[in-house]
Amino acid sequence: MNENVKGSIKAMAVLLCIAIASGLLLAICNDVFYYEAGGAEDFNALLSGNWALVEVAEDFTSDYGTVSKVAENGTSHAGFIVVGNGSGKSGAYTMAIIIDRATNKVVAVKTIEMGATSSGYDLSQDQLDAYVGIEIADATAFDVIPSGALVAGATGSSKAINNAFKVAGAYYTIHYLGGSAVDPTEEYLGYLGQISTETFTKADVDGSIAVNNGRLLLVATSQTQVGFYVESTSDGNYVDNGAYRVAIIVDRATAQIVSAKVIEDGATIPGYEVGQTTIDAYVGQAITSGNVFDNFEGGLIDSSSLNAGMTNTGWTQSSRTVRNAFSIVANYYYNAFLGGKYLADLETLATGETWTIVPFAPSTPYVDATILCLAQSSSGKVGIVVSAVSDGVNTTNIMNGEYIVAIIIDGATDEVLSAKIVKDGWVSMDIFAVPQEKVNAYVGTVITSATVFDTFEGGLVAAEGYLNYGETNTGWTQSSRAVRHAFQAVAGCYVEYSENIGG
Amino acid sequence: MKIKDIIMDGLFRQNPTLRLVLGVCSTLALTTSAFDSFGMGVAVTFVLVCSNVIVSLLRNVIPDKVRIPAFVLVIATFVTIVQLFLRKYVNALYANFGVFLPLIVVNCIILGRAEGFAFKNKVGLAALDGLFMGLGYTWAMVLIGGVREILGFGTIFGIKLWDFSIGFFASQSGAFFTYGVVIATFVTIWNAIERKQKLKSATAGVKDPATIAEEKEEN
Amino acid sequence: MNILPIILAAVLSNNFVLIQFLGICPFLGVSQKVDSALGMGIAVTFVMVLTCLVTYPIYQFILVPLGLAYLEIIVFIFVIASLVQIVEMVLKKFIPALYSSLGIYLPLITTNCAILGVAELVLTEALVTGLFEAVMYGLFAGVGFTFAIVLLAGLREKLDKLPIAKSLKGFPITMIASCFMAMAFYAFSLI
Repeated sequence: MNENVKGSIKAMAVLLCIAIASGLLLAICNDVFYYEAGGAEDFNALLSGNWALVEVAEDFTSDYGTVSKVAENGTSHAGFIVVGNGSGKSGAYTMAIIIDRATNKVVAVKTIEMGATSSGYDLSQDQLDAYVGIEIADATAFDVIPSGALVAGATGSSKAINNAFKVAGAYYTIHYLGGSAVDPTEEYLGYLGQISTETFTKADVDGSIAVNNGRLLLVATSQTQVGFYVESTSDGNYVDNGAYRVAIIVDRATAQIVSAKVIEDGATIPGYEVGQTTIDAYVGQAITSGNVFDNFEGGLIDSSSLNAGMTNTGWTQSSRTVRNAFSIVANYYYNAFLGGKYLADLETLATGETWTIVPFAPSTPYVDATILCLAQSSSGKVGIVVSAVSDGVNTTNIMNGEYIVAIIIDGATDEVLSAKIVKDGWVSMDIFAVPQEKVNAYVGTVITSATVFDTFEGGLVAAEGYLNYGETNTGWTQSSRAVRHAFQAVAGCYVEYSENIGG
Repeated sequence: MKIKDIIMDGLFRQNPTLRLVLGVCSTLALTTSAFDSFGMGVAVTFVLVCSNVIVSLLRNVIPDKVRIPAFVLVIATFVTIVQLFLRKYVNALYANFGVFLPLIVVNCIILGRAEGFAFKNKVGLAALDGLFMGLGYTWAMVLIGGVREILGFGTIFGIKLWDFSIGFFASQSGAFFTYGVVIATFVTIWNAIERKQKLKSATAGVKDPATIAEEKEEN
Repeated sequence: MNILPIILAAVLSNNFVLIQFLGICPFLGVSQKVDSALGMGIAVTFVMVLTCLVTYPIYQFILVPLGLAYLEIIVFIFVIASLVQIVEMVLKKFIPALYSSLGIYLPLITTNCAILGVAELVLTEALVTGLFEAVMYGLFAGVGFTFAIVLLAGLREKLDKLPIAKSLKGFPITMIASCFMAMAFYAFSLI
């Protein structure tokens, strides 16, 4: 008995000693290997440099998440650890983001802690890198998720990550750019309301279209018009002036500028302001190409009477700055709304033709499809570029990307001459891609009515065997049905177009 | 002679992954890539060597009836050190290991060696045993991880080999399948070698079973 | 309330054994017979619930406030070992009938990584926001474990009667059977 108790006491003592020794060792190791997410290690892993944490402005929390740490690498870069609120099934994401303070562009990004319920729904580094290069001009920089970082099947995670960027963007705008974090959209829409009676809603800006000498602050659409709020900067020849902010309204049916107004005048020298009568010279001009205003002199002010010798162009700096605003709008409208950027696709499909864009707005929207570009060729052909998405019938995100299809129709015989997929929309597995021979099945069909393709099955891909893995109940793959949507829309568009114009 | 036995036991005869089938959880979960497998192998080897040394040093102090809690304490301490170290210096591995890093504590290999070897042997031998058991675990992990990475992603140690890949091998079910097939192959080859050795004299040159196993996998 | 997502995730789409690879040792070791598999499953579920009930508050209300989060592994493994001991003693003394059927599995549970795994995962799982969810997570992780191990035992009882190549006998064929089960469970996580 006594021996037993002694043994137990010894055992307890030994265990206690080991436990205390372990605890001490770990306490030391914890100090030696001290680590906190968002410390210099995290930023150094992204961009090596001399990082130091700076104090986070108090209580910086928005609807989208929280800034938890801010670090600076000298004066060249700012680093953020931000928590983006969860979205859908995804929980909150903690991201490390580094912004170049000279260019205000995102230079690196990394996930510190994922919020997805399983790593299958997480975004890869490649996908995150879609954010690299985005410039933060104001708090709206991340309103649109970059297409590479919006991952089908992981939209919750994509949105949670975007929330983190929104928070970082807002913080950067206030504390590094001195801007306001208040969403300026309402204010900008108000400017459009001063020169149009239509009700506008904000549209996503297509970042792939180049904007020179300024930036687009707002693109908004209404039933029949497109409104722009643009900031243009001076070209700096001989005399400099501040940026101009101009509201411009374009009519969709005619692609003409219907009204415009200078909201903020950037003239720094009295007398150089650009008046409403000068602006009105642009009204009535049609946007027939992206550079229609580049040499337009109707809205310029002769500088000779004001101050000869200040410029070598003969026109005032300020009126040239205003012209830049119209050039930005013309270029954007031509490429985004008239589909100018798709002309190259029509040219490769029918070589030797010269294409002219025809403004076209369908009387009713098409189901699961949008007309991106309608053009007439020198020899009477009609080219249409259309975007179509899947109908979503019994789909589980396996195939839900956007398909863009270019189609050429003979204007005389109404026959489909050629067609090709410009952008493939399959997301996860290339077995869902629609082969060219299936697209060619549509070629030769005469478009006799808007519904000619509604029951056409020659271009569909049968979903059988492995392909039938739960994502369709129609017997045809999602992707080939999306392509058929494109042709259905084209038939509708072509019929309406030839009734109105071709006859 | 004893040393040669320890080396052969660790690497082949009693390979923890392929012969004893211990520590299966981490083997299945972390062999999606050769690099993760290698990292886990190194982490486990480190913990094995350290815990073997400490357990062997304390073998005369620790009373028999509390030996298991004492072993667990020692092992948990070293696992925490590995965790703290990786979190700071090799964050990518720390993130990929996830819950399997703390779970090294309950990896049967480590407790098994502490109980079965280190508690009965001198420090030097215990360290050697830990090292070679760890290396045996590591090469088996890298073999399985390599096979899965090549077939599942078309890469090896992150280097792209070709565009061809079979997603199955990267998935959970692929882990079970690859592990099962690798063990069956290894055991078959090993048994054949042992039979040959018995027929010949015991000193005959033996081809390294690891290379045979790998050659077989290449096919 | 996050209960339904927790149940579905823990039992099916994130099944502890087949998707997360936790508790593989008992999954392979105690799956020869359906009866013993069920016993093991119930014992594991029981201990998982207790573990979550104890470790979650310890971590959230003791270790984190004291800045001792780095002691988490040591504390958890000790809590689990003690819990198993206490459960064993309590069962032996008060419910001998249950002890005789479950008791033999309890010593195996201390080194079962599913138990330490559930203690760790419950801290990071996004769906778990409080003690109640933590306990539910433990309960249904255990149910998922039981589900998988009983299914495998059923398969192995059939496999034993089949002629199987010598080199595949035993462990390898069990792995390949598990492979097909994992495929089925993997399908749940695709949704």
